[in-house]
Amino acid sequence: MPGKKGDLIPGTLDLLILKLLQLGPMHGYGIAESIERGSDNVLSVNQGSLYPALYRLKRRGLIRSEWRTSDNNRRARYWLITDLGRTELTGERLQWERLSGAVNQLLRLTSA
Amino acid sequence: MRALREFFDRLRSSMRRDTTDREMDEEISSHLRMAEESFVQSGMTPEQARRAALLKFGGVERFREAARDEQRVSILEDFWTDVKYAARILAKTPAFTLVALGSLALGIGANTAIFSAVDGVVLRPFTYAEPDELVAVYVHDEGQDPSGSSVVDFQAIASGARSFAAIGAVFPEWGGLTLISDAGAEQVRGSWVTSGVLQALGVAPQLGRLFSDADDADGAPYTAILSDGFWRSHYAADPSVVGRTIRVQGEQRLVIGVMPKNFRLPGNSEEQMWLPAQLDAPTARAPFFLRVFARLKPGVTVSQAQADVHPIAVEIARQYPSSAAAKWDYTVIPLREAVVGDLATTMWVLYGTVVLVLLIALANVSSLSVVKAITRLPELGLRTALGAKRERLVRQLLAESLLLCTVGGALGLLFAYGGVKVLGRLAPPQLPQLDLVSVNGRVLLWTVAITMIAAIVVGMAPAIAVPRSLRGAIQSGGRGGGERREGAKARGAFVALQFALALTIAVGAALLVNSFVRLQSVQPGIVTSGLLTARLSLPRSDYPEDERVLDFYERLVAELGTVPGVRAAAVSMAVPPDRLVMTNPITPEGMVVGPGVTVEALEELLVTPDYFTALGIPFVAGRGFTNADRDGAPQVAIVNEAFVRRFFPDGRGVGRWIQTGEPDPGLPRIEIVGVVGNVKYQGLEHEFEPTVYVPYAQHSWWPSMYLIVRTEGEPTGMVPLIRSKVTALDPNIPLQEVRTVDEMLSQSVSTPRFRTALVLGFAVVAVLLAMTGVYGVMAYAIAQRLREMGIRMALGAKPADVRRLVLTGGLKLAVPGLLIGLVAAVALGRVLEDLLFGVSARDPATLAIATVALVIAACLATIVPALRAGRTQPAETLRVQ
Repeated sequence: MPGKKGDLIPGTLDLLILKLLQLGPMHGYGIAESIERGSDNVLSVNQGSLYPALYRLKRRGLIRSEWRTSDNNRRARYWLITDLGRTELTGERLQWERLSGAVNQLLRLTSA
Repeated sequence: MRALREFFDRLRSSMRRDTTDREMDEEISSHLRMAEESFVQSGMTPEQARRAALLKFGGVERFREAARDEQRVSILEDFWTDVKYAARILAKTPAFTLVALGSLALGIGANTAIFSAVDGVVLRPFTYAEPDELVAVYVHDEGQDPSGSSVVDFQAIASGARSFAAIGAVFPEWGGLTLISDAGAEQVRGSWVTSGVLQALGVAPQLGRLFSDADDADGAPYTAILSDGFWRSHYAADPSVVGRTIRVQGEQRLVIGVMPKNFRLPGNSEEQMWLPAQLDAPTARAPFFLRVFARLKPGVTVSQAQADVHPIAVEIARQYPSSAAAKWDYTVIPLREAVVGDLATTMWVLYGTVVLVLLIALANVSSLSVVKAITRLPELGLRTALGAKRERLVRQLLAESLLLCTVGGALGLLFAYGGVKVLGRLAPPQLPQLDLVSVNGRVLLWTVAITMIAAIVVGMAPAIAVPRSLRGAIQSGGRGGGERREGAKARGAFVALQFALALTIAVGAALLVNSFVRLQSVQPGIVTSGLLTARLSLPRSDYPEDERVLDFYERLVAELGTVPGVRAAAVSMAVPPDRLVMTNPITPEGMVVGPGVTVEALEELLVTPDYFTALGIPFVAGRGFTNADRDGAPQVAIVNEAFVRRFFPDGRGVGRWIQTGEPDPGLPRIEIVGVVGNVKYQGLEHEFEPTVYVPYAQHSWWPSMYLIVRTEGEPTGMVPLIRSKVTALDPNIPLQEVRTVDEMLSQSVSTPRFRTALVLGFAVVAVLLAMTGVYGVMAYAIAQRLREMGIRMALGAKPADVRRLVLTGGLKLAVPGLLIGLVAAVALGRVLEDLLFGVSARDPATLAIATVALVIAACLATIVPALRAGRTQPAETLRVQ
């Protein structure tokens, strides 16, 4: 996955997803858009790369999914954070707070 | 082309489609749709919107596959990756891997091999049907060890007891059965059995039938049952062998059956045929030479059977009142106890030893793995920083230990296969079952179990020994050099443990060696050098009268006496250390026979006149036998010093008389004409027993005798000449079991030798492993402390000082272990008591020797690291950061 300029380092994506879901349930498209918007499009994420990360987090038990009807009455899969995920978030965030500025800015932005 | 490939992809994925796949597809589609809608809202055409959405998504197929992989990555695939990675890591450190594999292979292999032996000899020694229902019935007089049964007692039990579904008696043909075929005379091993024996054991023949009651009857046609081995070697497994005849012991016998492979009578070594015992009607209660086996009726216990047979003993004592004084009684014991007996102690001691060796090996590998983990802390930390999951790393470490232990276990298994074969070949005659031992299903399960335990122990070792460093590295990316202090305690503990265990084994080995040396140096009472023996067996059919038997032997002895190079020749019923077969109640002069007085059955030996000269038994008083002492002349006897000391308080034996047989005042009085020195006939570890010798010429009813020849020079060179003399007298009599007495003595202690050699071997392995352990730890510690060494030397320490520092460091690790080991060895010593001869399990000299030996071993192991430390160049080490 990583390698291209501006792409996220593995691990960061998971953290961002958890951070976003902490604010509330979202579907995949919503998560992808939030990441793009929140980083002023500095971080370009292939939106599709979200899904392996989502399923990985689900396998680790940090998030879970529910099928709901979206705003325009369409069936969509919503993702929610679990208690385990919240615990993980505290630990992970402490670790990553030492890293690059773009990430820090993003975190500050999304927690605003 | 791409369209074609995408088509096939979709075809493939559609075939694999299940609920989760469909849901994922639905989710991706809805994502793309939402993206399209948002683009349309911002002004694009539907087509442009679709293209933009796809572009933003990235490779749909690629991410779909990746997502699918995240969902359905099987544990198995993950594991396989771990294993491959583990293999690469292990290959990069060949020293560690080889030592670890070697230790594991030795520990697990030895365990498997010895457990096979324990399983085959002690746990499941029999292939008979329902072996727990089988019992042995012994006859014994007051106070003596169980002995064989007499015909009278056997027949009484067989007809009178109600506890047995089947009962039978066995007696071997001591000299072997003589088989005459076109190829000439051959000696085969075999036993006489009553029909009840094979029925009781419950093993069906692979061909033909078993003996029935009809075969036991007097006058029934002669029959024989062959063993599988004999059938293959002599009849090439021809199925038509049933119905053929063979000539054994002078009779034409009909082959009625073949027993299955590996069938043996309880406690016997491999035999080649079995003949029906047609027991002569007894005229007296003695002799006691039968081994009786029986199968209990369903639901009957051993104690019930014991109570059942006791009244029979009382009744027989009433019928044979002269035997009543000896208070013969019957003992019923489970067959397993009868056969395994004190072999169990030997086997369990051996097994305990290999368990200790395995523990040492595990300690070795664990300690090495802790060291390895510490050196890899930086790597682990880096991998975590790069995003590796914590549990993945832990699984990785476990996969390494699993791989190591599995390969080590597999190597150990190979080593065990060979080891079991070697055990079988080295087996002493008293452990005949050892050559049947094999690595079977049960043993394999056991091996797998200990391999798994080993893997867990070795895998968990770093987690237990250096938990803080490990957790720190995995969680937070770790610091560079790793905690050096932490883990030092654990390493020290491992080394101490290894030395403790090694000392325990070494003490055991030292005790056994000490005991064995003492046993071997026991004097049997004869001059053993230059003495040749052989067995001769005269079949009753060719020699029906006692006179003909006597004639044969007397002529043989006379012939041999004329041969130059032969100093003396004689014939006798027993030669030390072969156990004496015959005992007889002996009433010496002066003993008042009555109720309350036990007439002991003592060793009685039939010998020709030159026996004492041939064996070098000294005369203490009186004369030896001459050719004048024969049938018709007054009966005479010679006794040994122990006999005189026991029965004649005034010390005079010559001139007194004895009576042999059931105590009866009317029995002929036999005059004692000589007294000789004591000889051990029951084995080197026993005391001297009172013995009575009578001339063969006056008692020639026993046709199977030892020929004894004392030669001038090397005895084995005379064998062809002796054989020719025998053949000259009767070409159908082969010379069997030709051995020197020295060889026989050596064989008589073969079980202690076997046991001692094995434990000694394990002790050596254990010490080597412990030395490896302490070497590894010291070498690593020095590598860590190079700077410290450099500083010391820069500050004026001499190389010798540094060397001494290292040596004492090694000793400081080993000595606490040795102290613990000493305590353990003394505590466990009790287990060895039964096996030791002439030395106590707490013998201080032996303990001291073993301890000193291990201290030396610890020093030796530390020498190389010490020398290397001494050669440190201070400037270099101080430069290297």
